[in-house]
Amino acid sequence: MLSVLFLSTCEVNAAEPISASISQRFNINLSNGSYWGSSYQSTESLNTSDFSTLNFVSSNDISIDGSKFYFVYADMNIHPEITSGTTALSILDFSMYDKNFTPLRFSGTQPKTLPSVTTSNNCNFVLGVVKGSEIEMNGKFNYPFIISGTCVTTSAVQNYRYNFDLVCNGTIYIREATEVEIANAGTPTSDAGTQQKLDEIQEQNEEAQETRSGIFESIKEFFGSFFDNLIHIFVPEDGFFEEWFDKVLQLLEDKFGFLFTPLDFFIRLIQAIYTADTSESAIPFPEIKWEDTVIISAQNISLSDLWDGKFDEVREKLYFVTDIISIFAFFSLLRKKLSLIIRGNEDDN
Amino acid sequence: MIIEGIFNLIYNLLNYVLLPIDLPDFPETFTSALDDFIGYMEGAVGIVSLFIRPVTFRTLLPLCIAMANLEKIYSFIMWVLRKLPFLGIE
Repeated sequence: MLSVLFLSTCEVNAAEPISASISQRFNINLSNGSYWGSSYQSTESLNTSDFSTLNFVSSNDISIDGSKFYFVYADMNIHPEITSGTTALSILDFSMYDKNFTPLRFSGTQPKTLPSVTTSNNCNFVLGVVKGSEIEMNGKFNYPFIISGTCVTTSAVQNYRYNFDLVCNGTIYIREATEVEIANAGTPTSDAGTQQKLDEIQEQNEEAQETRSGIFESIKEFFGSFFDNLIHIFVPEDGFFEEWFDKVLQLLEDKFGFLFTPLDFFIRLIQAIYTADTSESAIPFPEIKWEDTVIISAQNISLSDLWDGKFDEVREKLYFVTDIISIFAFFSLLRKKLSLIIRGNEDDN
Repeated sequence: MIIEGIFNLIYNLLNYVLLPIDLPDFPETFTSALDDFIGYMEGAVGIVSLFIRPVTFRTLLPLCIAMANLEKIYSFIMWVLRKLPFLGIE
């Protein structure tokens, strides 16, 4: 049996571990007295030439400042089914990494490497030094971290699942991991109960996140749409007045018939003035016809064509002169009208 | 929404009030003559635009109409203001 012990300075936490498979990232905020464990299922039978990497990815949310992680004791027993006396199990390397898979430094050793141990029966590793009630490794490191180990056996064995508990100083405590033989190799598994618990926690976290996002979105939408709605209370949408006037004019035309013709004529006249095409320097001639016979068809006599395109230049100068005249005429009219209102007559003096 | 509601209410009231009225149109020949006249006016605008910049013309036209009727506009505004007692305009 392979068991791994993690000790720290606090009391033993007897709660059920949260187990998960290898390489699965956790988002667990460790609180005092809590712990989480990880399990690993070897993917292949362990042979001499086969390596099985234990790779545990811890939470990336562990935020216990100054916490220590004590990897204390590795007690590996050969699986009972391994009957060969030559079977050996070794941990060739044991390292700790941060979340970026960078080896953690401690005591000048990077990474922490264990001596290769081979045993024909049981082998024990002491990865730390016992100090009173705790056994401390040389290093102090920050979370999150990864425990990585490589196991080599000299002969094939059954597939294993290794349960581990990661222990944080003041937070997580001893958990003796036990090896459990499993039927389906190659698939990381975990205890059904702990996996269910993990799923529940993850689901709760997702729900809480969705709730928070929903609240913020609601607040944002509320304030975003509040002013729009406030404006829409007083200001109609684009094109409303145009549509409304068209409706009213159509109603008046339908109801008043010939009485509405002068007003309709005036409106159409204004529209004709404002929508007439003035882009070309041409004099339009309307169609002349007698009953159904067209005598002269509608046509535009282009002054530009008649004058080899020079009329456009002349027209620009004409525009300039008539602009000045028009504006002066308008202000003259304005002055006369203001004089009429203020003085009661149009006398300039 | 408020403005739209008021205008729609006006339209509905107008529609309701004018419900019994249904006057006939002018004869077709008369309306077609008016259409021709409108067409001539469009041509006339084209001619005018040979000499007066269309933008200037279209801008000054409503202003000139307003100025020509400035006394009436002024009288109307003063009539409204006199209705407000707190202004004290006699």
